Amino acid sequence: MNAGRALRRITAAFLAAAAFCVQASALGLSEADSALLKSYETSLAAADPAAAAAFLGDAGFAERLKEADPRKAADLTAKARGLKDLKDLLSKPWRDDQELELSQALALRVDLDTPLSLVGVGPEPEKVPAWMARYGGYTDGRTAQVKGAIRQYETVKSVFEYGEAPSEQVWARYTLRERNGLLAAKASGKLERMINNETRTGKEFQEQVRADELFRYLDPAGRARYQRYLTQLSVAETAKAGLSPGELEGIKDQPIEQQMYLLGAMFDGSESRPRDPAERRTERRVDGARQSMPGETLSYENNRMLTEMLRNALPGELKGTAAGNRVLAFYKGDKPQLAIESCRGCYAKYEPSTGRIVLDSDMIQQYLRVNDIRTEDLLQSKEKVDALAEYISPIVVHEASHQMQHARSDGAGTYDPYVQEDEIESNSFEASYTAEKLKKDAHFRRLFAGMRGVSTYADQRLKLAQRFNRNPDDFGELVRRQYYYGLPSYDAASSQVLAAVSGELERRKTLDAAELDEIESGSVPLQDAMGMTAAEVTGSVTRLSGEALAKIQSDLMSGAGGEGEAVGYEELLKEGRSAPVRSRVPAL
Amino acid sequence: MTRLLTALFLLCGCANAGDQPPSPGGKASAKAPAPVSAAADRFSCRRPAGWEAKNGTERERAADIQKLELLGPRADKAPVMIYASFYGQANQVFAGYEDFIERNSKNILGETESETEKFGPVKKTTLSGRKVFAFDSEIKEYLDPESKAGDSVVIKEKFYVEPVKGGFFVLHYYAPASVYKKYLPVFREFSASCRVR
Repeated sequence: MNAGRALRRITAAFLAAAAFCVQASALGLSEADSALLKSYETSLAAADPAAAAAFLGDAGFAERLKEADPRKAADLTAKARGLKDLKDLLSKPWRDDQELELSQALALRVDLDTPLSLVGVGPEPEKVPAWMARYGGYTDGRTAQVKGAIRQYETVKSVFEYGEAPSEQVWARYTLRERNGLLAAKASGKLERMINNETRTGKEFQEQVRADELFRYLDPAGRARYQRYLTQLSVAETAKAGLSPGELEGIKDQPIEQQMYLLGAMFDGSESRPRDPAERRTERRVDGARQSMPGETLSYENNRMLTEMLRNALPGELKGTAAGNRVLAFYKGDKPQLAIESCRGCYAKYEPSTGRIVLDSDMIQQYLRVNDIRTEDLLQSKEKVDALAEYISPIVVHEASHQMQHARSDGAGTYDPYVQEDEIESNSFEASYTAEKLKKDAHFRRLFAGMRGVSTYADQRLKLAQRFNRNPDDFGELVRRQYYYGLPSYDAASSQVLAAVSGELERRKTLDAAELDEIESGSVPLQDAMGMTAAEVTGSVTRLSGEALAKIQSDLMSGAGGEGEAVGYEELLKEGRSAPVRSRVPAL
Repeated sequence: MTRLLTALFLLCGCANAGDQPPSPGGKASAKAPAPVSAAADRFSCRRPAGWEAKNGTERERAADIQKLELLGPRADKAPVMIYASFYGQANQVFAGYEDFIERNSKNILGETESETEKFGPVKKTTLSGRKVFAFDSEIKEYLDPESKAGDSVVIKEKFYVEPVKGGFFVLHYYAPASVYKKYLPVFREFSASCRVR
């Protein structure tokens, strides 16, 4: 062997060994652990899910690394957890009709600055199927599902009109969140044009609207409008079947809202003649589905007056029920702050920034139309306002429960992300209230029984109360698995947020003063961060102030929050227990 | 000589040279799922393969409720679930088996049928030689009770209720209508395997 070459080989080996030994001694790790660390770093940087599982399962090594180098430990833990989370997500049995759920779940994970993006699985959505192909084990069907869920160009380009589709290169640069936003806007635009211009209402047209691929991408508010449009088409078609040729001629070439308006006016105009139950039922459905006419809407002044009247009427409705008494005790003799506005896809919401419970104006106006109540008559009748207060009381109890949750975490000054346990508590409050009112208040019972066929709001309140009444003990699991499946549990949310926040805190320890100043100057302050959801925190962790990161980490590590389920639900369970039932079931 | 020097340099200062670190990404020891018999004090049942099982909480046990929840695949955005539950006399949820049947065999307005619901009659039958009450329901349930969109799924359920010493035992099957028949045999087999003590 050439002497020079041999010397170079010896020197290279010496330097490698020396570097190896230096690293080992600098970190305080054994040689074996150092070699293991190097392997993990390489494998996790390559987004290897098997390495992630091995790292997370190696508690002993993780402890030793945390003692030796906390920054590295936090960094590798966040990456490993992100990969395990993605593997678990894609291992679930997703059906084809769950594409929207899968897309939303991926959008949270594969975004700018998320743990997955740091290991190269994102933010470009196409990196997900590439990762699946690299690490194998996925069926063609699953891969196709994911390509649909990430809105891959080939799966969406057909919904664009000729000439308006972005190029594939441009599309590739959009994150999944941006893609979903663009598609939702496009779908919403098409729906509005249809509502404003289309005159057909027949079964064939209804099927065409149902089958339109673009409407798959509607956001929740758009989806609500879409469902209402389908209801209007169906109701209009049924109502027109009973019209004379002359009456039909005056309606058929109008867009849907105008058709509903004219149909409503026709029914109102024929009040003097007797009608059979079927016709009356159709009239109520028309009234439920159409827009409000002048006289049925709320002007600014009427809105303010009605809001104040409802505030005064609500305590009387809530009193005497377990959940209602709990809400009244929370307000301590005061009344909830209410507002009547468009809620865009929801019936009501609690606004932490203003302390108001916002009631959807559409919901209230629908109630007035179906019950033939003009606004002026409503405002002059305490009885009618009391009835409206009765109608909205279940959803007010629900939102008041959310207000109580905010008060609890604000009072404790802790970070408390929005999780399934919050909705278990609020839905239990609402359902328990409604179930008790149905038993005790005949007027309440008649009101909801009468509204359920024409108002989705009323039917939903009854169904929720029914599910709770059938088995309060199983109710919480159903809330998790069916109603709020896409919302994380407290454990899942706190784990994900803690990993992200801890990793970011460790990363900032490696930055110099100038870099830290730059981050702080444009950062999200503590007060704003405390109100963020888990997804918002993990998605914007690099933009949070250091104070916010430290506070959130401290709160989650101390296990604060997530108590709502036990506090609200358990006691309602006891208070809502039904009295012994005389047996109507024959003995076996 | 070259080889000796190289070997010496590589061995210097490196303790634990004999330790072989586990290779990351190596397969964890895979355990084949063993047949599981899920047991509580008052009942035992054989868990179907591939279904996720969850026992009741300590809080429930303290409240004289023993429960086994089985979670199957999802369909139409809703879960497929099977429950085996024992309710003791001290439980605060139901006054007795009659209360359970009354609340689950009618809607909340006391009807057995409406535009969106249907409850079958309560029948006396036998299950593995034991006398039980059986009934079912079919209900349009909402996927999100707060959303104006009103997306829904038709849920079908089947119940077996057995009065026993010290309380009553319930077997409950919950599934979207589209897959109800598919997993009904799983529920039947599971139900037949349950033994109440």
